[in-house]
Amino acid sequence: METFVQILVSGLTLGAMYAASTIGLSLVWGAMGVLNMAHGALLTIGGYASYSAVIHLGLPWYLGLPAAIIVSFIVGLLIYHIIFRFMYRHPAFETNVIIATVGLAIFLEQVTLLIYGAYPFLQPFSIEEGFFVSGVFIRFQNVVILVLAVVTMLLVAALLSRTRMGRAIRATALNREAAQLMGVNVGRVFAQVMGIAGVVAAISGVMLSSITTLAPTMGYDPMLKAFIICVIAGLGNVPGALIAAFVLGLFESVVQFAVGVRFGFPALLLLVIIALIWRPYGVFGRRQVRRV
Amino acid sequence: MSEPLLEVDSLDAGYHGQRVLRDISFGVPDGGLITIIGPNGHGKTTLLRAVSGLIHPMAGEIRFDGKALGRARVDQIVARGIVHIPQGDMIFSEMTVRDNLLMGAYLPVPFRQADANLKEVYALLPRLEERESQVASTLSGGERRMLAIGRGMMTGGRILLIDEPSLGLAPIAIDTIYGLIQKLKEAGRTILLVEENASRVADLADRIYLLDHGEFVWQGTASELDLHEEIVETYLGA
Repeated sequence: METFVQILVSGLTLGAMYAASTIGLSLVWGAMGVLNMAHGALLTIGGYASYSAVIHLGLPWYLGLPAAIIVSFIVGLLIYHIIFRFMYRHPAFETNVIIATVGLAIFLEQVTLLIYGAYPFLQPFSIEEGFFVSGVFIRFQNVVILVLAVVTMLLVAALLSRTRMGRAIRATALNREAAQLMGVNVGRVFAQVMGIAGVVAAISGVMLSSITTLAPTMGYDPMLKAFIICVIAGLGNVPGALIAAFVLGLFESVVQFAVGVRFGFPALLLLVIIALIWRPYGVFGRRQVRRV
Repeated sequence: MSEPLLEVDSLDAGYHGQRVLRDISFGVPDGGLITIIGPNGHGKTTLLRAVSGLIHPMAGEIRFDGKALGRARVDQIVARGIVHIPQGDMIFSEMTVRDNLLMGAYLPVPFRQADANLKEVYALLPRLEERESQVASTLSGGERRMLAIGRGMMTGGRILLIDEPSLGLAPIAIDTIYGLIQKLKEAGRTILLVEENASRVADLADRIYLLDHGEFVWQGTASELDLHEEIVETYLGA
């Protein structure tokens, strides 16, 4: 029972963080049909922005997360205005964006390194208290992460399904030309999507760095996991991605406990290979693969 | 006759530097129904795409309500009241019927009137109200076409450009769709209709243009068309 609770808690926490890292990536793919390789950089920037807001600007600790959200939101919009805006009408948009955002990610990583150095800073907030469930100590930190991730997902889901802006994002994803014919300014939708991706990435960056440490490269690992989750769920499928995130988080925890911590990631990759052999367009993917 | 609502003047248009349309001129009067017929692949859809701004003219001008469209973006042209109901529907297949219709009312002005417009569409197309919360991909071909036209009506635009509404439908569904177009015409809507075959549209149209190899080769009314058997035989195979 104790081990079960322990695995469950660590699996759900992992899953929550994976899910939060995946939403932005999946949303950008769904709406624009491109991979944003600078997604990890948005996470990193969010993490450092929260740290700087508290340590350097002297804001109270609870303003760390809002500060991170604002900074990553602005960076997300800038990525649209500096890169995507000039590319999305071009037939080679998909390839160009991958190359441009890889370059941007490296640039942002080096800028972070230049400003902060490689020292593994800790977020200036951490909740050490906790409670016991069947003899297992559970930190409030994990509970807060789980709740925050679930609330974020619900908010994004509500935004997509109930608002005028969300409808336009979904419509653009389904048929860009038809959305234009309804009066949707596709450029503006893409900017909104990048803004939302920035906000969610900031939340996930702060959560991640609150249980590990800050590092200029901290965004890569969650981005890689986010890719895996997107591929398993079927790219662009946000609800599928959330289910996949929790399943994979739990799976990784089980493997880490049963076989060993270092086998967690290889086991994930093995699962992806099996999933793709079984269903090449993703476990929840409904549409056919768009391009080869 | 007063100035037409939509006026196309010596238009050349095409793709990637290739001209598909040459020297196209015509007008659609307010409240009128103008039809363009002709074989497939001769520029009918290209013409509608040029009017709705999906492609920009290579030469000539398109004026709406007296003002040139120039190189306006598609969404700006929609905001001015030109509604393009594209070929093959292009409905948002994974959204509900209601969400599809609400997408038609995306722009701020129609969005404020969305409830009233929705009532109007449902009154005209009760089938859509029955299937309101169904995902659009589960609709039949005829229902999808109804949804595409209903979605276009939701924009509250001043002219509807309808591209081949009978394409791929069973005869009975075509009857329904043309019944709907007839009602729209009677309600005073301005319509520019494109069809491959004249037989369905002839009685509705105020004026018919025949488009062949990117040029108008004939124009007139339905009764004049009857006098030209050679046109009917050559182009329309009826």
